[in-house]
Amino acid sequence: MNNLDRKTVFATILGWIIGILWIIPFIGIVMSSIRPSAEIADGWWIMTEFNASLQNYVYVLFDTTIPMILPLWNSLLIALLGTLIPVVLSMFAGYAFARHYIPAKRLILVLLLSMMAIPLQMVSVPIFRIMNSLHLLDSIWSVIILNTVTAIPWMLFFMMNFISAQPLEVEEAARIDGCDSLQLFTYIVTPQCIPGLISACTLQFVWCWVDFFLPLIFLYSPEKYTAVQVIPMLRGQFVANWGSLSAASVIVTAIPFVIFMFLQKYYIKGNVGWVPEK
Amino acid sequence: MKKKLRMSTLWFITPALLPVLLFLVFPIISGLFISFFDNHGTFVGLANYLDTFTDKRIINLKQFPSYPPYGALIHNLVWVIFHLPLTIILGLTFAILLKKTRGMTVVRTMIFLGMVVPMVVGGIMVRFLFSKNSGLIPHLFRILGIPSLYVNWTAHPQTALIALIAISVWLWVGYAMVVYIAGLTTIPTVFYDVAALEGSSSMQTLKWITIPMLKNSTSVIVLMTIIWELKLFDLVYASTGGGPGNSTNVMALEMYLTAFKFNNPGKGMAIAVILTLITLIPIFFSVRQTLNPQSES
Repeated sequence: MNNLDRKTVFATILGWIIGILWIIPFIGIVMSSIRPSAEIADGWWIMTEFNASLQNYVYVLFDTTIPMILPLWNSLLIALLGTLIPVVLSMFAGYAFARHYIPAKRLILVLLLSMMAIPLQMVSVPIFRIMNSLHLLDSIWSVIILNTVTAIPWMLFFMMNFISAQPLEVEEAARIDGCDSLQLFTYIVTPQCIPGLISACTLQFVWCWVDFFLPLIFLYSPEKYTAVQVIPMLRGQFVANWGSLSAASVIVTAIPFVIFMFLQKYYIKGNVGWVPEK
Repeated sequence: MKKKLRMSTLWFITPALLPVLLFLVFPIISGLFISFFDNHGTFVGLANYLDTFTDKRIINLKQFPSYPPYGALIHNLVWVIFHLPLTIILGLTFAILLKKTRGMTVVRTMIFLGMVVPMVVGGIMVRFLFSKNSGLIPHLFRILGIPSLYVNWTAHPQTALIALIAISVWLWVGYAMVVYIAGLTTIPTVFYDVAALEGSSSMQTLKWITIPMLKNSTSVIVLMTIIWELKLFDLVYASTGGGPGNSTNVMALEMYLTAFKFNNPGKGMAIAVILTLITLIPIFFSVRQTLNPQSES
């Protein structure tokens, strides 16, 4: 018993040491974001002088060449629409795939799954030309459309699995009571799926928010930039201004961070929901 | 149940499948075509592919055993060789260490945080952590008395790739950890009780119970990690842009540069097709394993 306790104490201490070592880079970024550049020039851990202020944040949000405030708004729009549209579409399709007869269902699912693996680079040149002919270049809609179609394959799968796991009896009872397909879907299936929907939404929102490649190829006017897209532009070629760079980094990381903190259970479930049960 | 496609089914699935067809499947096929044409729209067969494989920016083994550049394709392989085992070992270690103990939820969250960091910010972190003046790692080596590593790591081809791989491990281990923790909770505790009764040591228990029971988790982690390693783009773009001297370039970045910066969409698509085919290798094995459950011992 005593031996077991000692083991637990050891594991706890070791765990905390690893955890703290693991977040040191975050501490560094936050420390340099709240201090003037001169103080951190030789390392953020030097504390001989310590003046905390939000000066760097104000600078990157409003005063720099590309103030972050507009890109943040663009990112928010892209992430919201790029989440809601595919979630609604996949919910409908996922229900049909779980409960209806669809010819060549297995084949369609395998094709959809293989879509998930394909790097975005594979579609980049053709989709650039398509968006050009649709006059959607330099419009956030091009990013939203691509976020939607890359999300549908995994979301459809995710929702299909979730719906298949629900008991069929409830739906049968509702059908006997006279529900048609749409009513059944709206009043019976959707409410059952809320945990699954939250998982899918948190994952997709974070992915839209952190995405860099799509804005990079589609958006090129400063007023269309997304927040993540602006970060590399703040980085100087040789000399980096760590104060403003780290403040900008903290700002764009804050949104996925807060979502994760509040919806941790759902976010992780979305991440590990792919492991086969057996 | 009647085996007939109903009208309502079509209403349910078309809004989701049609955009995928138009904006994903069609561009993929059309991208494949583009890879066989040059910039003027002339069919050139496999010339773009030949051009890719003979390109020093893609494969360059002249200084192989010493330091990079080895070429973008080889850098991706180096990434897999170092990043994958580290992810598995650290992920499993952290999962076992942090699974049960009280108060460890906070530590788990700390390690998982890397997963929500935008990869572009990850790239900034590389510069930040490994910069000579304000970076922690070079100062650490100075204190340890290794002045050759008290440099700006991302400015030298000898160290830049190592710095990038290190950060990518730091960002990604949280994923392996949570998948392993989920896997560990499905192992019946009675197995461990019996093992303890039989006098099995912790190492034996790990080898004969934990690792075999986590086989599914491991194969998912391996698959997702390899896909992640091959898709790397933002991290490299934001930290080094592929430099110095091409020493951190990867396939996804080289594709972007070729198609959009060097204005060579044909060759760019050839690189994309090669990258896609490489990505499909681990997926093929994983699908085969899922479809033939009897192959699992």
